[in-house]
Amino acid sequence: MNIVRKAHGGTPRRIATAALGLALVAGSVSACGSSSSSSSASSGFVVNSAPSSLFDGDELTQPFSKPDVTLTDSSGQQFNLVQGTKGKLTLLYFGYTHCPDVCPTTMATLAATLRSLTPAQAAQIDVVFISSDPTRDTPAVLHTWLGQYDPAFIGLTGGFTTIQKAAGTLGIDIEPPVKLADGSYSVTHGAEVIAFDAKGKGYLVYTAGTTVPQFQHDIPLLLAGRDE
Amino acid sequence: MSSGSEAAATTRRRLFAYTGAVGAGGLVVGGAAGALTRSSATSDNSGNSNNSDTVPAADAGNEQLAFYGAHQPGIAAPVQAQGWLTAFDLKPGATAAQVRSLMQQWTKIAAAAMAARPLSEGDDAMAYGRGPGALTVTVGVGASLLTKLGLSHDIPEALTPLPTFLGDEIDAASSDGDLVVLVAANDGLVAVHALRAMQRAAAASVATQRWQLGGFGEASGILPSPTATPRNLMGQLDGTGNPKQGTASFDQTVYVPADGGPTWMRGGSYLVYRRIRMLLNDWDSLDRGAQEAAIGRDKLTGAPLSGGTEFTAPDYEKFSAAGSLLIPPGAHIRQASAESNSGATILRRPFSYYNGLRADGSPDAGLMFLAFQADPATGFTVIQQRLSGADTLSTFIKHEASGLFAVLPGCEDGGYLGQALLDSA
Repeated sequence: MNIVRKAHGGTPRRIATAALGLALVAGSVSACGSSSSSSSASSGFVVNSAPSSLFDGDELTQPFSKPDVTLTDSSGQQFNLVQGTKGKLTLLYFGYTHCPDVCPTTMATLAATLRSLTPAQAAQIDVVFISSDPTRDTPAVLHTWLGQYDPAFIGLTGGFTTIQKAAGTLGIDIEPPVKLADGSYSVTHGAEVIAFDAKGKGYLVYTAGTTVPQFQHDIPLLLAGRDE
Repeated sequence: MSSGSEAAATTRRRLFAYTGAVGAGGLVVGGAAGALTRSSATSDNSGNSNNSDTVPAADAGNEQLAFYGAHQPGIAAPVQAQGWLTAFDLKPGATAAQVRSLMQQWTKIAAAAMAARPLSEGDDAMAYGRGPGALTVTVGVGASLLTKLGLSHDIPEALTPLPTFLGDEIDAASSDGDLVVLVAANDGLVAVHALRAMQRAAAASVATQRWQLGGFGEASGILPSPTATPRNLMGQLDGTGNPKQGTASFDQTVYVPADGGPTWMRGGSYLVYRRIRMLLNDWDSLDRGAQEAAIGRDKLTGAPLSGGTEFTAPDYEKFSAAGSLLIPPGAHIRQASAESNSGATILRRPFSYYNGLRADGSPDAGLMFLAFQADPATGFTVIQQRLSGADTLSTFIKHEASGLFAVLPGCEDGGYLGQALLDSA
């Protein structure tokens, strides 16, 4: 899994190497648009390279399980990810509110996608944003920031090591935020949205730059259940 | 203006030969540079033909914009020297017929004042002897007006309230409103003359004033060239990234298209107002390099830190030899750019305000931020969602008031502002 280390305050961008031992099937992933920044550099997932994939997202041959992690939601309540999103199509993203690149775009894209769905469809979907910068991203900050996009989005924060561990089970290697000498921060975040179906299996990933039409294409298919 | 005889009938001052220049009912503002059409020299001043790009001071007061047209002229006109934004609420029990009557009165006042003609009712002579001064009067309505008039079904989706953004400290009493009027001119008295007439008309009938903010832009002729980008109180050029007038993208960015909806907004625009206080003492404590890093541009020239001149496209992927991004990740121009915001663009037309000290001793100063766009959801909102968290500049400002208004389409001679909405109401 790729990590993207955001370069704040002049630190050169670095992209860590895939560390999970998953073989990368080079090329041939479906044509998700990727942003021009390095944050979308995507590798490390084992993807289904079959061109006949139904989905616009990158389909994994080995799905992830939804992390069984308990964090604090944006109203200050304890929130267990598995219990709190049970039965929902869950779109999970690790990011942070001060993020200068793909996090805001990703949230805006998901919000626009949900607005375009029927209320019945939207009711079957949870968007979950887990902070990779939990010290600055308090419940109140998450509440306001996510509310800019969609008040129904679920924001989670908590101890960094708990979050780091949960991300790690999804192949997302985040590191503690570092405050730099000039006062800015270096913070890591995930580059992909992971979609878990109603059964809690995460077998689709969406790179930064995935568009509203691409999500619109896949969501009804995901809601209908995986075609196996 | 479509009628020369109308203008010739009465005028506050000697009639200048502007009618030919103004043309037949269209916007005077136009051309790639968006320069004002200026009145030609007087007959006794005919040797001094005005053929340069700059306006001689003696002519500055004669700049006139046509009131009638497809769009209200105050949207595309260059920012004037003085401007007041004033919001009104309907008095309890106000009817659509009464609002229609007020709009008709406001239309008459705007048309006359923009042509420097005496007002037909109760002119207070405040601007007697003065020219049009590039006066514009721009009228908009809030969603609350439609609700109060029983027209909720006519509320455009674009008037969906703005979300609360991270860091907002919005004062409700100085935000929103049923009606809004932006009156601006290159002369304060000319602007207030028109505004006060509109306030009197409102108070005498159906509306009470809700809040007001005054600000200033550029005096005519003060900039290095008529097309130069203005500066704000932070000393930064402000408006470099605006869409360029006379282009298709300008119209697409700013106006509801002729086949857009709702029908009563065709040719109109949506105004996002934010009173953005600048934390000038904090800002002043930064050295110039830190200020430029927060913005992403050279302070004096406006050139992006990736190089070139003011209008060189910023290169957001360019690194220094030391390996850092030349335009830092949190730089305002990066975070506000269309590239970062799914193509979102807005027309910014701000005034500055500088109103003494607050209780904490800091200046009550900043930007009367005014942005026009065809759809705020894909314009201001998308941009501010990103800026609120990621923009370095956001740590030097506070958003303290807010408003979202449907700026009505322009009208033709004989019609009135808001006619398509109110005739059927």
